[in-house]
Amino acid sequence: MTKKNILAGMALVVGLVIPSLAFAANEGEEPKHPKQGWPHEKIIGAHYDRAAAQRGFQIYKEVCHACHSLNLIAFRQLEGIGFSEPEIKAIAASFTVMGEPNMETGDVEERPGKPFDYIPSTFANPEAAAASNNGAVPPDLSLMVKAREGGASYIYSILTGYREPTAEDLKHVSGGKIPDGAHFNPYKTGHVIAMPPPLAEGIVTYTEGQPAASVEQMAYDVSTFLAWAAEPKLEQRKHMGFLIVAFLLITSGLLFWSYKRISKQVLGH
Amino acid sequence: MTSTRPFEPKNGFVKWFDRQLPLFSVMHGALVAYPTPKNLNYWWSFGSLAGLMLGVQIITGIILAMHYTPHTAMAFASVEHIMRDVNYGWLLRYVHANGASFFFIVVYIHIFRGLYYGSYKAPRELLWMLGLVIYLLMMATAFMGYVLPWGQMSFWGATVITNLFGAIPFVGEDIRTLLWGGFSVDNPTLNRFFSLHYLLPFVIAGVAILHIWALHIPGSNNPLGIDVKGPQDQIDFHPYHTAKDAFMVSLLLLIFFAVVCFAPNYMGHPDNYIQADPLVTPPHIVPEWYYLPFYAILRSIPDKLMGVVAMFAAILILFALPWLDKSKVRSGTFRPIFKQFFWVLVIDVIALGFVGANPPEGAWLIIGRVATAYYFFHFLILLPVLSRVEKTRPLPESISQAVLAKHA
Amino acid sequence: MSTTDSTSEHHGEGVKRRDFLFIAAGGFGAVGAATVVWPLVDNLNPSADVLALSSIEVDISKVQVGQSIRVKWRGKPVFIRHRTDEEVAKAKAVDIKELKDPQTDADRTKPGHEAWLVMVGVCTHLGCIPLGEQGEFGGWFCPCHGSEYDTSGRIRKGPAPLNLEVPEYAFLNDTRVRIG
Repeated sequence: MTKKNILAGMALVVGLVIPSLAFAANEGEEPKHPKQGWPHEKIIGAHYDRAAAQRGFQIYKEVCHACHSLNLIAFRQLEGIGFSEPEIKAIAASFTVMGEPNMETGDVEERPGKPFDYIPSTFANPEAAAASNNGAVPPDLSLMVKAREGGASYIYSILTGYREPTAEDLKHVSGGKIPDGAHFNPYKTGHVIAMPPPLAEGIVTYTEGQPAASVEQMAYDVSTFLAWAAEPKLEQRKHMGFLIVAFLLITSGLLFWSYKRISKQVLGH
Repeated sequence: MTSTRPFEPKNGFVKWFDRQLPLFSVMHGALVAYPTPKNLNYWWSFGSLAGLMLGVQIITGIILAMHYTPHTAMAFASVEHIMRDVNYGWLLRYVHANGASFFFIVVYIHIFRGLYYGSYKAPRELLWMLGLVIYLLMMATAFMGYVLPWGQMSFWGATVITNLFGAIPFVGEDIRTLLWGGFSVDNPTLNRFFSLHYLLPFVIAGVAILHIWALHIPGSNNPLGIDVKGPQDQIDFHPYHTAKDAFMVSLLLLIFFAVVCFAPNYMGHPDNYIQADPLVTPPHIVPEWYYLPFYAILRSIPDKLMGVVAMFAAILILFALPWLDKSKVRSGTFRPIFKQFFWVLVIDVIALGFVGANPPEGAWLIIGRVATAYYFFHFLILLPVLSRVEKTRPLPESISQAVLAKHA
Repeated sequence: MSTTDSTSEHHGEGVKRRDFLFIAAGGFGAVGAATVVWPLVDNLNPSADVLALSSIEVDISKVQVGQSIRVKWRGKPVFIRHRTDEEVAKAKAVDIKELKDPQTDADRTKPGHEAWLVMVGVCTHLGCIPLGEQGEFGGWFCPCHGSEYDTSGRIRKGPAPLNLEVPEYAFLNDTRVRIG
């Protein structure tokens, strides 16, 4: 029995030590994300910061959208970050989308967006996007937060992580120098990123009563918005999870008690 | 196994129905009056739990198929359509995706329980082998299911695995083309994988019925590994095991839903939220966690064909286990040396899992080779030798005596 | 005697005739079954529309020395590399006896176009796409399982068994290549 426990303990130790060693090995690669503890990452009471997400949408629209698509988001879904119906109609109408074929002529004409439309991409196809961006297609942002280790913190780090590389930094860059047209960013794998720093003081103007649009504030806001875009049902999921877990805890207790009682009746112990 | 309680229905319809088709008697025999050894522990509940997870997967899967589109241009978006627009779609999809992992967790515990207590030994060899068939079918089903969302890991996982067949001498290339329906993993591949992913769970259900049938002929093994001597050693399945299994089901669901609701992507890979791109390989391709030990075996051998052979041999070797381990004593409880090596095997398989998750270089490569060598050593050399030389501890007279002694 | 003989002969003939009948019936049955099975298997092979896309033409006039392009052919990337003189020299200097899959550089290029390397950019191990100008041999490096190829695309290190595949291709003129 004790030997069994010792060996089981060893299995556990191997299980815990190996991955932590692996993580330790990775630590030298990318620095820790400065921004942690997002309100939507909480277990109980998880929620998206609605005001930040709305400001984040403004940044997406005015800055990111020039290069990055957001194919999976329809205007109607912006309800999820607290926009009202008239606001959504106005936002949709501020975009131009390809309409349906004209009933008489069969021509396809552009028209202002409607709530059921998906946010249109700036580029007609990936080839056009590549042609305008030095051959690299700017990735779609709909799922970016879920497609990167670190989630919203990763986005925040990338947006705020640009700086002039030091000699020490360049040692980590393959080839020892930043290629033409690329930029140094310690949070990106390989530390070289094609995207120029997208945020700068004064690039957007927030409406009256909102916080000042510093780079950090904007990074926080747009990261919050993209986190919502990647997982719009998160609040519902975690809220439901709390109820399910509470319910199953009670059920398990009752079932255990029933089992013990039956055991006593039929086995005598 | 004769039932201790004969089936005597009171309901007229049941009587009439059962005379013509004894469905109710069979169910009664399997779920109510099935006599089990008195001393089964909690590890014996994992068979029922595996059945539950199969049910969860089939039900959620059928519903998801109603909303999913198996086409390379639309598959990725249709999964996101499920996540965003279908009512409770996110719940169904997360339950299905994590359900696969939990099905494997439950089945792995079930398999290791069988390994420890010698449940593969006579007269249960066929039962064991049917279980392995289920396990193989599960691996195939899960592999094809992972391709369906058409993310980067879906695509590259499918590419790596289907390329394994290219290692077969002479006909490998043709088999690979036949699997793909083209010159690479593409739309025809996605389509046929969807078809088979829908079909195989029902085949699993069929083999599971055979597995239960083959269980009910010799009856369950037990932690002492000794044969049942008479009714004093036994207890009916209902109400004792139904109550016990119900508790275990609730406990499993508790953990399962905690993961589904609070960490649904923990066992997934971020790259699978990037749509498949045949021209870009992700920097590090890893299969789902439940394949990692076998993936590690594949990579620990530098020759392509031999790597593939070793990987399949690692699974197929388990079919021969009843004849490799000839020890008359079933339960590891009475086999002091076997017991220790059992835990070494557990550690070995976990270590192989970590090796499979990491790039095949440096220390990982060495650990992988050592662990692979041990895996085969354990089954091919250690167990046959051990079953001859090991001095086992004395077995108790009977189950009821041991139970009484324990609770005296 | 003769009567007995003739009866037994007669009897023997009957046996043979019946055997033949059974074999023939069985044979027809087997052929029939195989005929049914073949469409059930062959439908899984590439269909006509997939086969139709099996040949492409590429303009290589813009590819400078030391550059490469990737084109998609049969759903897979094809690397077209305009090698530097140094790379060509390095590829030619290799002693083919030390190669896992012995091929000279000349076997892998077209006469008169030695600077051009055209090959399917799919690792022969398990189908990943190797990265260019990386690894110890200055050629390609596969990120999946660490296979390394030299400047001629020949396997030099790692688990891959074969050199990167050179597809069937032809130079239509100095600036156009047809692959397939």
